[in-house]
Amino acid sequence: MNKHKSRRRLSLAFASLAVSATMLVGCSAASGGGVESTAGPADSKIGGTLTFLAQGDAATAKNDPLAAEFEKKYPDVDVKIEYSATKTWDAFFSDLQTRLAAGKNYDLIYLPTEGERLLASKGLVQPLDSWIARDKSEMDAFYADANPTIVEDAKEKSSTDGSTYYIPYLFNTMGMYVNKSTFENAGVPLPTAGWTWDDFRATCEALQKASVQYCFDASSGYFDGISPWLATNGADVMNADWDQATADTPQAIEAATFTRGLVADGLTPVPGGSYDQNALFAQGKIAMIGGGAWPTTSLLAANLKLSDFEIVPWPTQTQQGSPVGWGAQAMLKSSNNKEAAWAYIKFLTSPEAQDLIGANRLNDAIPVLQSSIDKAKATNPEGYSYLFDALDYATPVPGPAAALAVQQTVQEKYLSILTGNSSPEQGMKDMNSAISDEIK
Amino acid sequence: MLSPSVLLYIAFVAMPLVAAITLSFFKWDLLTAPQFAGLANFVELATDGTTFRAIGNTFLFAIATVIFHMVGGLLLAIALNRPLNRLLRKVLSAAIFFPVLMSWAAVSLIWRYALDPNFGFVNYYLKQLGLTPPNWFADASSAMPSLIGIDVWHSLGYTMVILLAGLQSIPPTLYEAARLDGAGPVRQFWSVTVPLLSPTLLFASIISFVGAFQIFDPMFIITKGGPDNSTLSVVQDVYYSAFRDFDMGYASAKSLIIVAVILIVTMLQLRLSKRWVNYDK
Repeated sequence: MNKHKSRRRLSLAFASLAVSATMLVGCSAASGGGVESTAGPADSKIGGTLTFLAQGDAATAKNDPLAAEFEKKYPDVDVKIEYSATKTWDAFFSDLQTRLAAGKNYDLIYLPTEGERLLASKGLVQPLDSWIARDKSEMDAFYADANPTIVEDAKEKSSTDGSTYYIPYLFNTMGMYVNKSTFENAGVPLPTAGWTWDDFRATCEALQKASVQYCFDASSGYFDGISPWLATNGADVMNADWDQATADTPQAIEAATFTRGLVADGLTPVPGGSYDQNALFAQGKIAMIGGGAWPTTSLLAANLKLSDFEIVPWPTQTQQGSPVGWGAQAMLKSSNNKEAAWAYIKFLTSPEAQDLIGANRLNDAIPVLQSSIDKAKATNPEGYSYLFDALDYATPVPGPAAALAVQQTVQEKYLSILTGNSSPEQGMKDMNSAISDEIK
Repeated sequence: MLSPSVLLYIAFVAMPLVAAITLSFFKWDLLTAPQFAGLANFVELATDGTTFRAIGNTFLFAIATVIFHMVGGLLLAIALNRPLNRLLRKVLSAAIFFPVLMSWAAVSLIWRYALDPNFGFVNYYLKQLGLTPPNWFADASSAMPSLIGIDVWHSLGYTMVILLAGLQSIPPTLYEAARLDGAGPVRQFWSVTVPLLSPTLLFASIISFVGAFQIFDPMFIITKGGPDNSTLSVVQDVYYSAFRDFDMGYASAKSLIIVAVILIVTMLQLRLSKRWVNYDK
């Protein structure tokens, strides 16, 4: 009886191991699949189903103007979008990688800067060079109107072998949102382009004197927190090749010291909890907030009018600066409909799609065509074009393979500095050391 | 033929466990094929200070919450087990149990707002009283106690309900006999309540400990494990390895450690229970 039981247990154990082995084989089959191809003839038929994955929720899924416009232009293509209902990029990447590991296949995946190099380096993304060469005249029109810096950055930074994997079609930089009535009521002049950190500090002190609760919201975030202060002092948390931490330079420490000073002197709220930044801005309790295109939609929802606020460039210390993050569609090597996928990528770079992005702030982002920026001014706050102008001097947000861990490390260490738990010098040294560990 | 329950057990317990054991010997980033790594994940784990910190934090959290749950839950259960107006008892039970029904995500966000150092109502009233409240979630000294407090607020009602059911199953005649023998309330508590409630106390303590050891949501949503990993829990550490660093093999190795720890502690609780749990009625 006991022998029989032992044999049964052993059989079960082997069966389980066999299942695991099968699962791992399945994993390897699902991972890294797909074959690199080149563009077909120029008159290739564009039809069939086009599937792609993007970040968004059910409300977004119901109404995607870009997909609708694309289907109008290509009636033989049926666009099926799957939305990942995630709020942050790290959650999106987790979801994306889990879906791919589970064997899901997409023709296109929307990617921000932080994930582009990683996916390309894993051999999952189709190089686009042959399609770009084939449709040269259309792409030349795009390159002539697009900001050249972002196009070049997207090619260089997100590639590990010189191939073009991504064509950026939207982006965000950082500007300073100013509540005009808060300034008017306080009798403080509105800031203007070219203002400096000293001007910013003086403005804050004047607003505080006039009983404005907080002049600015010093986020402990990465893109919207520490990055613009570092960029305007010629610093960043990583070098341009994203292979070395540079968070402990004197310029970086100076930036952290400056922002810690704002918190310590009660000019900005102490980070550590949660509050509705946009509502407080609308109520005049916070006079300035940082952001790209995204605050506008929230501020309008908080009952402000476009004329109630404006955007000015970030104050400078040694130079103009801003982080920049762009978005692009990755065509997967495993795509079953590469011609339709390319048609969609190309469509996103067209003036009609770019105008839609600008006028409606689609994806809460900014189009890359200069002509679309000019048209979008009517539906965006004054100073909107500063966000586009910032591309000329902006620094791409680091996207090494360990980008998510790096971002989390930076946010945690920066929070520690802002709350006074670490001195700026020690905090930035700790940040540098932690980033070095993450990218090893 | 296998019964449906065995099939479910195989699908949701046995297979994931075997898969985790197998994966722990591989390096796998979800995107490319898994590579056999032998014992490399376990060797790495042996020197991973962050994971040891997470285990320490989780033990601290689990022990503190078990103590608060058992003591607080028992006190509340005893209070509600006294002769009370029926409606009042139901209202009080529902009020204490209500937070249990809320998702951890909602609870975490509510407390992030409530304990905000600038606009939160808690700090507002503490300042009105002339006190200097801490930055609850940003100071290493107050972050973990804050999370323990939130957990007690959220889950105490569950322990209370279990213990109340246990108290109500104690025959009233035993208290009557004790009173006739001259036992006061304290003596009745130690000589009647505790021995007869001991199986329920053991059950509640095991459930509380296992639940506390698997804590993830409040740490992930409120503190992200900070400041300086002072609130990083083991499950969160596993999550970061799997879904931030995309190292599924290493995450599996860590998961096995959690299974082993929970197993050892539960066995210890059961063994020690022989000394104090009374199954006679």
